[in-house]
Amino acid sequence: MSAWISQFFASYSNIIDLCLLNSLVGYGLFLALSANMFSLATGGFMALGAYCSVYCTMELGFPFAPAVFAGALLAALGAAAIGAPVLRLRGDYFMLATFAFTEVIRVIALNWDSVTGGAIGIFSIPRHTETWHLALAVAVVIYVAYTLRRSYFGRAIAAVKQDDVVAQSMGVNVFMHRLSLFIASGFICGAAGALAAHLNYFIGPGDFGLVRSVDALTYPILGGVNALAGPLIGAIFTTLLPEALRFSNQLREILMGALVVAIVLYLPGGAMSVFKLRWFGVRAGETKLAAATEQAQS
Amino acid sequence: MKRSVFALLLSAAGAMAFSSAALSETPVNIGIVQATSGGSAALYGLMQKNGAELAIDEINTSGKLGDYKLVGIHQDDAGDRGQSVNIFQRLINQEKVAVILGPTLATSAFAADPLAQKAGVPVIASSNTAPGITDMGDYIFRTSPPESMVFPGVLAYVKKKYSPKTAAQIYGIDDTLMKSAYAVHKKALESEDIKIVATETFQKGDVDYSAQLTKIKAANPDILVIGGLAEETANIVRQARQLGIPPSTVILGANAAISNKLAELAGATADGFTVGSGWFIQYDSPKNKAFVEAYRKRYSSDPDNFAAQAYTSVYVVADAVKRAGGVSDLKKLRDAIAATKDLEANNGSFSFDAHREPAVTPKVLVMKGGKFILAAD
Repeated sequence: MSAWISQFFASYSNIIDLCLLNSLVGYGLFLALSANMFSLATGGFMALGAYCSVYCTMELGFPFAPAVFAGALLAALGAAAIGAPVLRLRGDYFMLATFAFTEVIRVIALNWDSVTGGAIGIFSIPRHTETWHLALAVAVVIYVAYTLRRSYFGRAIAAVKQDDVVAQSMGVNVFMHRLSLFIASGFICGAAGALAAHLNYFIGPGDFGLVRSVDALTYPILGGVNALAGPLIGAIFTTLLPEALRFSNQLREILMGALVVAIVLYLPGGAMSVFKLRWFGVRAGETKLAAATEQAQS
Repeated sequence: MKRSVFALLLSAAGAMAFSSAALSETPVNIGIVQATSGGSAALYGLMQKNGAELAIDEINTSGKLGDYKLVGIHQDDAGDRGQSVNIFQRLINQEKVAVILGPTLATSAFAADPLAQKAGVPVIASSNTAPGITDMGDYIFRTSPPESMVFPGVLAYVKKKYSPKTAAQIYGIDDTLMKSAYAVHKKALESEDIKIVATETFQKGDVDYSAQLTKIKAANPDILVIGGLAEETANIVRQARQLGIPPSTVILGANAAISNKLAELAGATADGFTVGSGWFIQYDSPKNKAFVEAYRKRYSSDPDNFAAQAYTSVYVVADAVKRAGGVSDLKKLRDAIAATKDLEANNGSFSFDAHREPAVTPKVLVMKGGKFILAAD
């Protein structure tokens, strides 16, 4: 039995690691989305975290934990720097500004040869990230998200999400709430970037572009933006899907796209809304209320 | 009691089945990690998968390995590094492969090859031309000659024939392969004492190079060296001639620019375009003719140098399995692969050098009338 487990782990440990890593990124986005911030800055934050932590471990000889912390901190600083001006923008403009941030970071990484290695990237990065680091990080982030939702801060954020004008008129400082949440999101994505950099021996500017940002958005949206477990489910689903569909070769990409479209079409509240519907379904009286809330939120 | 008897019977039956299989043939699992989906990587990946599978079937039908039967296990990594690592882990621990061919991209190799090195499973790449691949460990080999082995030969030929004094360089700044190719080109130019009078860059997806080429034209170089993939190189060559860079300015390209597509896209302007390669389709040897014919028959298209190199990789493995006397000891197999010498291959005789790089003589090819032909002295 134990032999079987160790073989399973040896064969699939990287998939487990990737699931956890993507979950971590998913929760970073989950925080941003909980105040209606459709951020495409994830790639940029991860790049900051990754390059900074690699610089710390390889050039400055830092131990792993402070290096990850430094990377996360730099990403949080980046979030504060762009969040301050950009969070006054709303909707599409915010999205465009965060997209521009990711592109700027990518182009800097491409051209700052002495630190980032340019297009060639950095290889032979020591492998420090263990599965338990990732699991611990995900557990901590879930706990933080859980307590946050129940706090005064969380209620204020929920109000901002519903209608920021009303929230503002009730005395919630919308800008500061959004900014602090955006910084927290940057911190988590930066930490994820640092962990990712020390997982697979190599980083390059191409790893942290727009694709990464869009992928990160799909985790919480597929899983469900309103459920605490949503990002976890979404990230695991999107990470396992390409592996599960490997048998189909060329058809794989079509199948993946079709499945994602199907989920968005038939479960607009994300995969976790299946459970919600069933729980509320038992208490018939609340079904309408649930549907109404759902509508108000979308 | 009944159950244990049944289990005993079952295991006995299993043991018998196993031993009888072992008597007739022993499978040698070969992992083929090539991207067959996921953008431009798939162009190179599919060619190599085809080449490798063709060679596996040929060797199995020929019976030259006796009781050993090669079993190719192809997995698509979509050019994505995370997936390459997933696949390597599974191939090594689950499928117990004896050797892995691939992966398609050098960036994937930097992430995945260390796993194989650690597990002691040999890896043979047939499309990684970036520097540093075989430095990852003594289990990492490649049959694709790196740019640094090919380009100096090309330049030496051009120097001898045209004796250029000045050169201009243009390369893709956001591509791993092209940026390292640029460094190789620059070093070769400097060591040949050719003065670089202009250096320009472009990015993936660019289609208009007139700004860079106008500057290069103003510098009036004797030769122009392009660090780009096939499509980009074709566009640059065509636009350079249209902008009036004269045919007396010889244009040289990187190894990765070799593709049948280049002639299609650049047309007559590509005449005189010079590259270096470890293999080319008209190479005159019975082995190569048989390869090209078999490939055309099976896939109804022409092989390129990546297909040829993947094909060679499988023959290297087969030869090593024979000399190592099986695959029960992968250390022995690695040593046998490393000792590969003068193996008859589709580009002449194939050997690995001390750094596990291919010791082939690069050939200088010149484009003429839409086809690459061997450069005449």
